[in-house]
Amino acid sequence: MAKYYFESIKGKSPWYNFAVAVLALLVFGWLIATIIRFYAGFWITGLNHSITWGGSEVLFVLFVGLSAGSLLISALGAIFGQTEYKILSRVAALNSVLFMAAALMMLISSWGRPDRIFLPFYNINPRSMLSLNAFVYSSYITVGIIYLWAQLKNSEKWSRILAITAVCTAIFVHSGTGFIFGVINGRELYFSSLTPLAFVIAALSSGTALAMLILHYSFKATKRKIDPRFFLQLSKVMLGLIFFVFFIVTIEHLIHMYVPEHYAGEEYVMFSGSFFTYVFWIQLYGIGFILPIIILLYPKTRSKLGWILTASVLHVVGILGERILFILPGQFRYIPILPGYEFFSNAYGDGETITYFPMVTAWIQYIGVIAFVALAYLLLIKWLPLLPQEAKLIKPAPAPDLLIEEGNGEEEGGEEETDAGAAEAGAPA
Amino acid sequence: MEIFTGEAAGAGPPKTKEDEQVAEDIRYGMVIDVRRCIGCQSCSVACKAEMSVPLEVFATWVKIVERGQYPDAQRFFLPRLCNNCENAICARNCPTKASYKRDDGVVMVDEHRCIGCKYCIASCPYDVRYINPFKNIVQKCYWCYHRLDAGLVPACVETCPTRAMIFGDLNDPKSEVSRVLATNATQVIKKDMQTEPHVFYIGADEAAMSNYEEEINYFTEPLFFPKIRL
Repeated sequence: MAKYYFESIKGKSPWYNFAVAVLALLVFGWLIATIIRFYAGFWITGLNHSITWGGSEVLFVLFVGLSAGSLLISALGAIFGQTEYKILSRVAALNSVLFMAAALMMLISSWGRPDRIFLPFYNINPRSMLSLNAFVYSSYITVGIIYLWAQLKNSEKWSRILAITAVCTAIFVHSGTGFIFGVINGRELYFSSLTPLAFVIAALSSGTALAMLILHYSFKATKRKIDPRFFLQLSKVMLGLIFFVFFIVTIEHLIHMYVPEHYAGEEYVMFSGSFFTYVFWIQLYGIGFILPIIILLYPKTRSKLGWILTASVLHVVGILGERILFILPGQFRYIPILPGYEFFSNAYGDGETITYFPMVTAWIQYIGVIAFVALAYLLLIKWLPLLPQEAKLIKPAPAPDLLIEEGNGEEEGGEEETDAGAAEAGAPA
Repeated sequence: MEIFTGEAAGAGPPKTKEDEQVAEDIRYGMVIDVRRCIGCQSCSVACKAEMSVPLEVFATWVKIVERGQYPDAQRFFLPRLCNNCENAICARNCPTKASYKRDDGVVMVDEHRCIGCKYCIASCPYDVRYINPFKNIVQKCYWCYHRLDAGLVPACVETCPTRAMIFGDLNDPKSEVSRVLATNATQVIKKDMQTEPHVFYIGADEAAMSNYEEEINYFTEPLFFPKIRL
């Protein structure tokens, strides 16, 4: 097995210190905003009695999803035999843990009583998906941390076992998050059996996209080299996943349109001209699906690194739209109690036009959690040897006519590996 | 005349083992005669006073809606409160068992267990739960369980000037609720949700109780050419 040479960043430049200081300030802002929210109540984040899940939950599901793609890249080496990807395994595993931690920060700070964080662990309701997910989330983070630790100890055996465990836990995490919302049968726009599947696949596609961005800019900012073919291969994985999400989201909406009970809700999302119509058609379908697919299929753009990264950004933005559609419209459409009647009295909040926009406190919370991910990433790649000095694909992608000589190619690759290893061993640590 | 004497049939704190057995057999229920409701909101006010419900939120209220154009118009009152369902989706989904069902069928929220995740609010098909802005937890109508334990009826029932609300034990065939239920056509809201609500309505518009927002003539309206109002 090839030995890879990892090195922590120096982190002495003024830009690094400046970034750490600013991010720490933003995380502190998150803490203050959460305390203010705790004492002042939900109204200070813009929530009201009709919209009780807002931007915090949108970002919660987005972050849970983003942690999936990083784990996929991290586990490619251990599970799918793509040994070249082991060099990216550490930093990808770190990202998956950080995004899951950020998701839990977002979730718990959106609770009414964040001080009761440990209550779900000893008051277990086995019929509640949220109760089960408390265990799934915490075990996911635990497995992720042990997986990272096993890699830092260079334990091949345990890395492989823990990679498989982490991927299995991840499937529970992501489908479980989909289940939380999919089982709400009282609200037409939540209730769907495709939600868990759609959630898993969208998590993988958007997570892969974001992991590519993080890897590219980490290597670029520290002036290290990464083989662009990594991104070329990952973009193909991402393209397949985007097609899969596109397919699932489309059939979910189509099937809802065929159900008389759900048709009105689907019309509200897709054709009513509301905010969600724009999110659906422009952000999700336009920016999230169509543009990345065109970029990744068009011959002149699909092999250019800049375009691949652009497609990644677009897809993450699109999946943010998917998460918005996942959480908010189900609450914006009031539950029809007296259908067919015009509301006479607004004194009790019946029939009011429901509006929701996150207020300043909420935005400070959102930015603070994103800053937490960036801050923890910057600090940990400084303290721990996570980033490789140089990431390159050792084995060239086999052309069809070279497949017969695969054995020779592998041997050559092996020689290169040993050469590289010797060079690294000779290099001053 | 048990309503005016303020006694709920079979209520009262259990004292002996036999009493406990009786308490387990109790299943409280409410019948609301919509034909008698005058929309005076007395129940809302009584509930606010009894349960210290904060401003801007309601555990019980009367929906006042109209339909049609003058002179062919109709005004409709529907007192709304928690149905205390037999199959309570909120209690099923609560992650900490803060929402639970008492032996007599009242769905409760334990203030000391609620973490304020708001999953129950999203789960409830009847939109009757609210967030207490001061305590940051979820609350709802408990049918004045403290009054039930003391042998009284809920405050809204006590105060209703037209006796539109009738409360009692559904398992006791001699109670007024059972007699009214046996002799009248009643409806529950959103029966198709299969939550088995314990609040029954007499004389409510059938269209008002269904789960469908509007009647879509599904097989004649063009499905793939919807009205696009961009």
